[in-house]
Amino acid sequence: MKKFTAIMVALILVAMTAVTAFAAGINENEKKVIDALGNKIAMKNGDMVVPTDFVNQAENYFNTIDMTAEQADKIVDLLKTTGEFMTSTGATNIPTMTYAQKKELLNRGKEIVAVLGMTMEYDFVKKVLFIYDPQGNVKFESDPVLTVVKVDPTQSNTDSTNSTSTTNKTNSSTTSNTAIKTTGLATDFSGFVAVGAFALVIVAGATAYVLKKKEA
Amino acid sequence: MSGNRNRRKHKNFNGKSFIILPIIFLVGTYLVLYVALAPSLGSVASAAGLFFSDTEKDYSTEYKNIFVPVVEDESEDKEEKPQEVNIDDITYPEYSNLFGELIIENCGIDTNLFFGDGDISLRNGVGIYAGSFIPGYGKTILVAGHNNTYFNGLKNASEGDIVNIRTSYGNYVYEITECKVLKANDKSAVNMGAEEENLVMYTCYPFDELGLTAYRYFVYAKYVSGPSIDKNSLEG
Repeated sequence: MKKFTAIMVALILVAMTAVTAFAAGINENEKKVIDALGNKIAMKNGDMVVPTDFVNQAENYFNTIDMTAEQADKIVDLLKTTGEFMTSTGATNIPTMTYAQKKELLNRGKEIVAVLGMTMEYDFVKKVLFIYDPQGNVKFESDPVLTVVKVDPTQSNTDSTNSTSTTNKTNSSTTSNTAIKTTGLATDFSGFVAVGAFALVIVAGATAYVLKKKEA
Repeated sequence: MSGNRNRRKHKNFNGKSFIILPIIFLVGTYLVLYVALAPSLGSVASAAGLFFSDTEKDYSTEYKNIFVPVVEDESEDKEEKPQEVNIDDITYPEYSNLFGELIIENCGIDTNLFFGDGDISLRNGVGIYAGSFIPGYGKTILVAGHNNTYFNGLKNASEGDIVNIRTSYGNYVYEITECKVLKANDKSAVNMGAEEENLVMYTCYPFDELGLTAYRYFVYAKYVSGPSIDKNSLEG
C-alpha cells in the first residue's frame, strides 16, 4: 500500500509539473491573425495599413507561442471592430486623432493583446507604444502610425468590371517610420524648435514683468 | 513713513524677483526641455557613453546570452552540410538576446549579434530589427550598429566581401552586392516584405559622427549558404 501510494504521489507530481511543449512556427490560427493584421483600414484620405515590419514583429512573437483557435477568432474579431472604429473617427492617421479617440484606441489595443495575456502601454514622453509578454518582456516597441497602402500595379487584384478591389489585402510591403534607427541624436528637430521658441517666450514675458515692476 | 513703507515693499519685491521667480523659471524650463529631448536622450546617452568612455565597460549583465557556437566539420563537404533546420530545433531569440556573431573580415568587424536593435543591443554589438527576421528564415534581415563602434568598419565594405553570421542553429554566409548612402526616411531602402533571404546592414553616415545626420550607410548582401529554417513544426 505504501509503495502504491508513493507511486501515485509521484505520478501526480509529474503531471502537475509537466510543461506542455509548444509547437514553434506559425500555426493556422496565428496565420489567420497575421492575415487580419494585413487588412486595409479606410481612413479619411484613403486606405491605410499596419506597416509590414509591425506585422513581422507579430510573426516573430507568434513563432514562440501556440495560439488557440479561440484566441485567434477573438483577436480577429477585435481587430475588425477596431478597424471600424478607426474609420469612424474621421482621422487621416493615428497621430491626427483626438485625445479621446487615441485613448479609446489604446483601450481597444489593450483588449486585443490581453487575449494572449500581454499588456500594452504608451509612453507619452517618448511617444512609443510598448507591448509586453506575460513575463513583462518587451515584444513590440514603436511609434504607432499607419502607412499608406501601396498597390503594385503588376499584381493588381482589381476586377475590370468592378471598380473596387475584391480583396481587402495589400499586395505590396510597407515600412514604418521607425524601422531605421538613429544611432545618435534625433534628426527631427521640429519639436525642439517649437519648445525652444516657447521657452524664449516665457523668458521674455518674465523679463518684461520684472522690468515693469521695477519701474513701478 | 511712507518712504520706509515703499522701501520695505521694494525689499520684499526684490526677494520675490531674485529667488522665487528664477527657481520657477529653472524648474519650468527643465521640465519643458526634458519633454522635448526625452525621445532622443536614450540613444544619445548610449552612443555618447561608448564614444567618450575610456574604460571598457561590462554590460553583459544587461542581456541574456543564448549563443552556443556551432562547430562545423571543416572536412565535411559543403553539400553534406545540413540544408535545413526545423523550427522546433532552434531557440527562437527574444528581444535583446545575444544569439550570434557577425563577422566581416575585410572590414575588421567581428561583433556580437543581437535580436532587437534597442540601446542594450547597440551598446554591446549590432542588432537585428525585430520587424525583420533571423538568418535562415528566408526573408529580410535588417541589422543596425553604431557608426563609431561596432559598425565603423562598414565604411570599408565593398562588393564581393563575405559576411559570416554564426548562430546556435547554423552558420550563414552572405556576399555584399551593394553599398549606398540614403536618407534615413527613404522607404525604398529596405523591403520588409521580401520573400527571399537578404541581409541589409546600416549605420549613421557620415562615419565618425555621433549623430545629427539624416543619412544612413546601407550595405546589401545576398544569401550564399546556411540552413534554411523549416517553419513546419513537427509537434502539434
